[in-house]
Amino acid sequence: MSEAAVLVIGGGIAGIQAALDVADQGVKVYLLERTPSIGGHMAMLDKTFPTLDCSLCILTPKMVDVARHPNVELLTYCELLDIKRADKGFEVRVLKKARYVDESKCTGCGICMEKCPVRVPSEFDQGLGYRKAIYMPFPQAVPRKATIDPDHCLYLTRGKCRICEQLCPAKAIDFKQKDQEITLKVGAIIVATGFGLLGVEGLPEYGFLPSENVITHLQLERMLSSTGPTRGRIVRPSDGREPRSVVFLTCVGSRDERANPYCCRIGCSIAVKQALLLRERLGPKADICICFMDMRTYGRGLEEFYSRAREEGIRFIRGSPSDIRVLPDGSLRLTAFDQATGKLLELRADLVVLVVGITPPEGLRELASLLKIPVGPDGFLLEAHPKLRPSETPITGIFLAGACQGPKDIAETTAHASAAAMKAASMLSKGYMVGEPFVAVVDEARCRGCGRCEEVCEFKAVEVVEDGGRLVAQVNEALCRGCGSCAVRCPTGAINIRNFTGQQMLAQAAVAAR
Amino acid sequence: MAIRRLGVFWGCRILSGDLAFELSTRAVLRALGVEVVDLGGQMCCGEPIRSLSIPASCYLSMRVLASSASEGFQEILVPCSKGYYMMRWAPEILNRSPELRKRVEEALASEGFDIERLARPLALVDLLHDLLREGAFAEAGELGMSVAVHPGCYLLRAGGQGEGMERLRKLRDLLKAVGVEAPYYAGIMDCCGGSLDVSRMDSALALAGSKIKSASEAGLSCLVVLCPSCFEMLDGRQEEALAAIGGGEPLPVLYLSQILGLALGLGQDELGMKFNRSPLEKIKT
Amino acid sequence: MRPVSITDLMSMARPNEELKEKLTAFLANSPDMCLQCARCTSGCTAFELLELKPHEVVALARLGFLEELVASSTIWDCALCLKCVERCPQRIGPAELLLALRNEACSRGLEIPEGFRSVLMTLMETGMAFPPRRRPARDGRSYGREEVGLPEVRMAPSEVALMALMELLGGA
Repeated sequence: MSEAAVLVIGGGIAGIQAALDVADQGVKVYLLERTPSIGGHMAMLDKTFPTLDCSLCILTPKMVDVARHPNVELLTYCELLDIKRADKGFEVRVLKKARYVDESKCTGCGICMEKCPVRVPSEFDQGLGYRKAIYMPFPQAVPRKATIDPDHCLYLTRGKCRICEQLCPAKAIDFKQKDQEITLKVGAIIVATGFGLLGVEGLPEYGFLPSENVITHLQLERMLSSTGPTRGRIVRPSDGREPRSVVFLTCVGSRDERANPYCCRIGCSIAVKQALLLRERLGPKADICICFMDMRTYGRGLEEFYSRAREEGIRFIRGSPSDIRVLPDGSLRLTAFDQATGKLLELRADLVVLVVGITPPEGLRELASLLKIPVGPDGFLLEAHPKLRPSETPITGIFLAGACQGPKDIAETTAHASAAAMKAASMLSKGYMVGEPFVAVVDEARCRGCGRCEEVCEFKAVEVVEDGGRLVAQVNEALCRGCGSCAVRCPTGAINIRNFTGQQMLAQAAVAAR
Repeated sequence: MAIRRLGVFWGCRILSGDLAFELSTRAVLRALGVEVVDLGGQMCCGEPIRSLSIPASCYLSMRVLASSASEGFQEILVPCSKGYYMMRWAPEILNRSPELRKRVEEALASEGFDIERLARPLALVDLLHDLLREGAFAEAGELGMSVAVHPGCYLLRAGGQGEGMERLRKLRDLLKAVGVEAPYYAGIMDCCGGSLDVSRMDSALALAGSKIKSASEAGLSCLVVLCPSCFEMLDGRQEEALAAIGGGEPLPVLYLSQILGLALGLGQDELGMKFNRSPLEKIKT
Repeated sequence: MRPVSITDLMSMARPNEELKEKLTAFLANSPDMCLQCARCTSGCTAFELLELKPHEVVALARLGFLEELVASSTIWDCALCLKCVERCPQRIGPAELLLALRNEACSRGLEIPEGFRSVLMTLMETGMAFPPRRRPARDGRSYGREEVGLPEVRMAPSEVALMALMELLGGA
């Protein structure tokens, strides 16, 4: 591989960590992020468990480092269009979406955002707060540049307004900007696309529950954040008053055959963390309760974290409610069977927090198709080996970092990302790669160059070429995955997988059937 | 407005004398251009004997579907909530037990029915909602009411996951189309006790009473139901139900087809409203 | 069949694996899969009536202690609202297990609520579970279907169907 550049897809902590590690090796990195700023979910958090570190305090230095690293090119507000194998690596086409703001001039002063008349529910604040049509997703955004939302901007939709253009001291607004297509050549790709959250509309017990006081854990996190929609005040969305009682429901849609059969890995720790933060904000008199099936707070420091929560008077009820009612005053009534006492408890809550399941991020299947990497039964990307090769995919040159390969906490994510970076950089620096021996082999004497193998190869690993005056199939062992489609298709039996010829397999079957 | 012709399996709860249900449903379907063909020679769908024998009850439901298909019906309307539930549950039970499936297959074959040839069951609320989308309610009046809709356990749980909430949405859409608001109230998903009447009538009545109470506590002045079993508890036995919880305000109870029929300009007699036992005079429009 | 090494020291009962297999045949998922989340019990309509809560019934079934359930009156207290079936994250649904327990009680000739027997008898005789009856109206009179102009709809038991029904009912 001579193209010494790496594409990192996704600008959350996984992508940022991987990019920094590759860049520190002296290799060029393109860090691709589809939203206007890097940071991902970690930027939305108030504190991280179990240390209760301020999330942005530990993240922003890395965000700035990666943005300023001489070997990193930040491509934010960009979409991936296409990826093809080319030369010894990949050719990647990227759409750089128009911000309608000249990044070279914008200073991030924020005057445009103050004066913009259009309010849109903020995606970053999970719908709890608003942003403007010209916006930065959050105050610590990197790059610190404004972006205009073409679906809501009055000028771009109806030809009116243009206040931002008038007021911008740097004259950075450029409504004539167009989307741009960029082509990159890279030798390796690290997928770091993160995760999504489960929507609960599919679960009947939440299906018709018209209450603003039933929120997800990520919405609570935004409320806890001092730069969030409530500036860190914990309130009931319905009336803005401080809740006196809060109930957490864990495993909402996780370990659930109706939604996500798998465990979300971080839900229990999130509930404990948020309960402790609420205890701090709301004081000792607040009634904070966590209803759970199991408490899965494992890992270093997490059992102590759970103990701390019990010490702080957080109630733990082993028994999941399934009946939630909205009362006329906006409060919520839940019934939970407490297995410890055998009592059916009525819980009256001012605020209910649903710790919802972690899902693969939007568009992951399409990305996997594009990259020809497999997806596991749980919808997350499949690693080459779950124990021994968790950061690699079966496809040469494509690596995995972070939650796109399965739910993880931040510590696991950074370790995983660094591993992916090391694998990618090492492959590029060696100039050769070591692969599996079970690849396709052509018996040139039998091959008549019909090209059927080339037709069926998904990985473009076999090509019919002219060699010594005749057409013959040639295998690129680096690209061949040993799937055997060509061997099946070949009409003369010229192409076979090494050590898996038809004869060998029949012999194996004969022994097995004995 | 399309004219439809549909085979209908009413089932024994309705045919044994739920005149309010049958009159109002027939009247509304007629007004909406649906011609119903009563499937005769049928037997009970088996729901009432589930507690005695799951296999026997599933067989009976499969028989309804197979015999309807053999009479040439690809689809049959099953207006009874419990009947529709059974038509979706029975095939699922057969999927879980190949042994039962074989026994039912043989039983059906002995009458000349084919287990592979089954009519597809259609729920009343699904049909009405389709008609709504086709514009059938365009001329309907606006009743201007706010009611406590009681979808009922079997409407909410028939079929696969998500179907129940979808049907509740359709139900509220239908009511909205005739100017009837069906807001959320705390007891909306509560059971009326209808399936407990055989084994524990007193507890069943208490459940019905609590349901009525939750509607009036929410300030709603009318209950709208779809299921004959629910109607029996909430309308037919309303007095006993309220007595079982120590008293409470009686509420008028209407079938969905009765309220839709009123909006379509049909008369009270046509809609069988003289067979509602609850205090209909309290209805405020 | 798994060898049984458990004894309930309160009653000296041993699990019955055969009965467990028989009674769980129609469930969407085995009671072995139960995580004891107790969502079924937390939202159970008949909670106050039930001596044994739904999650306990599943736990007993999981261990194979079904004999005590078959003879208990608690299995007839379920309202069959099916909330537990809808909400069970392992797709077990205690209500369906309770129906199977009722079936077993019935086939053993145990005491069952009278109403069920009369429903079955009416069904065998007429093809309908409920006999036609006149409906009282607000005008004080009672009406039958014909009197309000409803068409005759014949529900009829077919001989062949009744025989099949008898066979499927087993000992019921």
